[in-house]
Amino acid sequence: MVTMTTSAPIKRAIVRNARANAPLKAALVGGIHEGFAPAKTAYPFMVYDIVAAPYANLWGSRVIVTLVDLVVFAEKGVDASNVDQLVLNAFDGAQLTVDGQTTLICRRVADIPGGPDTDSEGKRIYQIGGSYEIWTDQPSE
Amino acid sequence: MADAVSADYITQYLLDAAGRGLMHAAEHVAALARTKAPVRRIFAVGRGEGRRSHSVDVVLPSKFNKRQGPVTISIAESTGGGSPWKVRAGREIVSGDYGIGVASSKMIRGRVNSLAPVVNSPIGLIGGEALRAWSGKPGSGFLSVTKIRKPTGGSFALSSLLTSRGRYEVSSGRAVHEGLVGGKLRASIHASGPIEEGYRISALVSAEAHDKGRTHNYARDQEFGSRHNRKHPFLRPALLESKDYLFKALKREMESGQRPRNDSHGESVPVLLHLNVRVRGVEAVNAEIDRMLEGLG
Repeated sequence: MVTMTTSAPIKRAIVRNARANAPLKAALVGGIHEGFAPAKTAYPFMVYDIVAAPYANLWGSRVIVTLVDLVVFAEKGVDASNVDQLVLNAFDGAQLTVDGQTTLICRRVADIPGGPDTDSEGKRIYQIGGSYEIWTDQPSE
Repeated sequence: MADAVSADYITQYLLDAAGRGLMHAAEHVAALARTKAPVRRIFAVGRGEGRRSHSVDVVLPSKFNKRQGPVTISIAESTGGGSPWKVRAGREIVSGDYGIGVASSKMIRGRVNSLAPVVNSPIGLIGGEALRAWSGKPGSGFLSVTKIRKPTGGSFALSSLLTSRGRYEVSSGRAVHEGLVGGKLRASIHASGPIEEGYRISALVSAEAHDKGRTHNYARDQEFGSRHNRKHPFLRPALLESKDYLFKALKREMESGQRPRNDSHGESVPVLLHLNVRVRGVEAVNAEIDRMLEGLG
């Protein structure tokens, strides 16, 4: 019987892909966080979060369509935009290596709107990012 | 013999049908988003335990919010299992005027965190939310109708069930919306349209919620997150899960034969629809599209 996998390997693939990109890794001083970053994390940093991952079961295979937000937080708007461009370069059209699954599509589908916010120390923080759609396929028989 | 139809007529037919199908889908997305919208968690009940399909109804002293008659609060969170009279470990509340009953969520219909008053009368429960009703037989396991009556005083404290945030929310009334604590965001979700721009038709599903005296739209923070709060997306998951519905709604309207708005013909026009959608070079996706179209047929 075939062992099926969930969206968890997709999250691992996202982090692996970001870390494998040297310019992006160097730019993300505060690192990569899932969902939410601790209060005193250095800027800039990236937060990723799965928005939805519905399954489509076909005869013999399962396609997971995962919508992921990749958002950069930085103290300057231009820094956030620059790092966001690096994220786009690393992920748009990338062939992610997902354990147990084959990546069909990885593309940016939308920008995420966001104005400056203030953090717990009163600093203005810019939040810029995008939504990426990742389609993966895995055999189910 | 039926009149010949012009290309403009068919174009208008398709635009109208697409608009109707899109609006059906938008309403579907909005309804789904309402079920996914985050709810203010003001109750300490069930904290730290897996959420189970239980609800708790609490009858409160009327002095609580100066309403006449008892007030019920429906808590759609876990009670932690065990005896139905225990609301949390080590705390037992005896059944009575201020008793707490537990019923499965299947037995109680209504929204969480309701503060709408419910009054017992000879014909049954009056008031509260329209959907609130006991659909099971009174008996052990959940609060019977006869126990919902006007309290005469007592020492039961609502605050014991609330988180510190919940106590603030309830005492300040800051988040009360139409008799509920919370629900403003969910109530704001709506679909609008269709918006026609040439041959492009769109529909909008939106949410907008503000705290009293503030202009900041916190629906955006819930959907996309912020530096202070993790996101709780509700609009985009609903959209993603409604793609199949969109195809079906469009096809149904395209095949409906309903006359366009500027119809000058005497009869409906039958339309043969053939969808031909392909993603170049990605066979697995094309196979999925084929499967979906076959399902529609």
